[in-house]
Amino acid sequence: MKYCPHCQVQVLTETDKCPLCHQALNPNDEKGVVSFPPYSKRRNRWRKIVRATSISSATVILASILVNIFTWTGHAWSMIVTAGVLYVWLCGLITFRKATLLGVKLMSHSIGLTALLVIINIFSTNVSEASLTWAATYAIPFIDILFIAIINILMIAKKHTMRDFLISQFALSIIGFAPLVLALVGFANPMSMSIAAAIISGVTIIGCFLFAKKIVISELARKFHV
Amino acid sequence: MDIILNKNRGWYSLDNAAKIYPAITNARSSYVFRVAVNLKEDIKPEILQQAIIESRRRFPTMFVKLKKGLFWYYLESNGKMPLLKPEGPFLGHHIDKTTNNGYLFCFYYYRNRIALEVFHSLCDGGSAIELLKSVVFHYFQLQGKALDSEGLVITKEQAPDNTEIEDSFIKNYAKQKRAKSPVKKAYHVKSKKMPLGVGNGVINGKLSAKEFVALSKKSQATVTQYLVANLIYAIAQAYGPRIPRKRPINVSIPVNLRKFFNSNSLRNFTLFFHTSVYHHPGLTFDEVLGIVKESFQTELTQEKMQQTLNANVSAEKNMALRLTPLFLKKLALSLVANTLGSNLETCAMSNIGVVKIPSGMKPLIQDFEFNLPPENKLAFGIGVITFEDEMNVCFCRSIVSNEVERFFFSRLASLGLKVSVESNLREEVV
Repeated sequence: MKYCPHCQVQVLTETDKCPLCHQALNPNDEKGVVSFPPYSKRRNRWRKIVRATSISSATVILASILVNIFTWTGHAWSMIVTAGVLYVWLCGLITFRKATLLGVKLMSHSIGLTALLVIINIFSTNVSEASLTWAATYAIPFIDILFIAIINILMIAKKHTMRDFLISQFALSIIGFAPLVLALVGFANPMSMSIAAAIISGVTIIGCFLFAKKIVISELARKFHV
Repeated sequence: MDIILNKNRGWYSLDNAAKIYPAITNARSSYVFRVAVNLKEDIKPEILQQAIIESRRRFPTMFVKLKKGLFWYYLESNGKMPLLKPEGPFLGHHIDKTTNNGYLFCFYYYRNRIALEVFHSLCDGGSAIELLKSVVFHYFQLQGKALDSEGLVITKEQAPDNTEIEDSFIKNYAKQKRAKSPVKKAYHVKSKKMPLGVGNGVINGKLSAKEFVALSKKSQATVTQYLVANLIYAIAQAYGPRIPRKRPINVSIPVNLRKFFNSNSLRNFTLFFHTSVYHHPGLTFDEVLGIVKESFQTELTQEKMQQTLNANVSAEKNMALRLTPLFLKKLALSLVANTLGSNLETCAMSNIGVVKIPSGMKPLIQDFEFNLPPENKLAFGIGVITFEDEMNVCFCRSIVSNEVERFFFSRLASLGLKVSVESNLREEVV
């Protein structure tokens, strides 16, 4: 075993220098052992991807806003580009993030797509004529119905992971009543899609309580414990 | 066993100490500590993996995953396979739940070493040692060794007890007096940090426990008091001229409350107290030891611990805080951790004490290690653990310089103690 005369300590690790004072050790002394696995550089590909996509997204958004301002015709099309880029960036990251539950990923896509379509609806015409007609009448209820149905199918198909979808499903089902509210305040006409979304949302909530009461109550107790 | 799981509905709210950790982890602070055992033979990974799996039902509070609620995090039973991995070069690094099947602990093996790294929300060092001892005990049993637990190891044949899964902070909370001893803002070691991604520098010093006890007794001090005094003195020697007069060297010392409150909990049940020494040019070791002994006498009492416990739990019981959504709570908790935690500490030193194992296991085990990685503002963490005559003082640092370790161990060596050191030599890659 090597010995450092300066620190008066024995050195167990295989090294030519004292780990404390870094003075050279006697090379003729018995070699130590590799006490710890050797260092190897850790690669974080995910961080690089996030950084690269963040920079390119910000560049595209900034460029579109500048071009829109300098070529202004009363049409804020850069808002649509911004919303599109943000949707692809945010939801893309959520989709590929392993730690995020599938239910949360689907819910994020539903909310993201809704927001994107609302912005397209508002900004696809001149600023003075902006409205919410087709988004409130068709797009928002359709997206709600679609994602509630997808999660319902997954919950039935993967009963053992039902718990992982419950809270997202509840949140989506509550959001599913929003088109009806928009229709009632005059944003949507005809109301048929909005009513369908509200019915499916209501049926989903009641169904969860009827067929998986124990899991629902237990999951709510976990998520909302104070 | 199943009765206990059902009674707890398969989930647990985090205990009082555990609540803060998920909110304050960041790139520099993993709050992952490590306990390890060196055997006298190389590890057989297949058998060790089996031993880990078989311990699952005996430790229901450990084999869990961390989940987010609207107001608090909570722990949920984890049905996935607990993993055993070859030890990597990064000690006390974040446990990535995506590559660890959601578990908050991970077992590693390297040559003759079994290491258990644990996120602090799960349990404290004392409980982690119990899990490690139990797994090693079953590992030997699976190899056909006839061992008797002698009541010193938790075995898989015993059913988990309700007292093991209780939150002992809540159980021992009393509304009466609550107070925390005032602590001055501490001196923080200012030195070049290891770059992110390089990991922590580790230096383990191996000493003879008998020699160290004799040395402490000579100064009428306990082992922990002497270690803390030696640490403070080493910091003073290493950074003396740079320490401002108004900033004390504060060492945070975790206290295992199980001894004070007769608890069997396998979750967190630890509180901290601080010992503070102001540096001045003529500071001597005896002066430091005197201050340390005095602070142990005044702070390490049942009454003081009860008051601190009451103060901590009453904060958790505050209805306004409880009803604050988790994302806002995280902001508040990280602020509190900064103000009442790292701002008041120069470093932390935790002494787990003597590990007791059945006599049949003793010839198979070389020694134990305990590493306490540094946090954001703290340059190093020091873990101490003793098995038979082997006392391991494990330094883990986030700075390149290892001056404190040098002064710490060379002073002990100059007093005639036999000191052996091992290092991961991380400063060489910076």
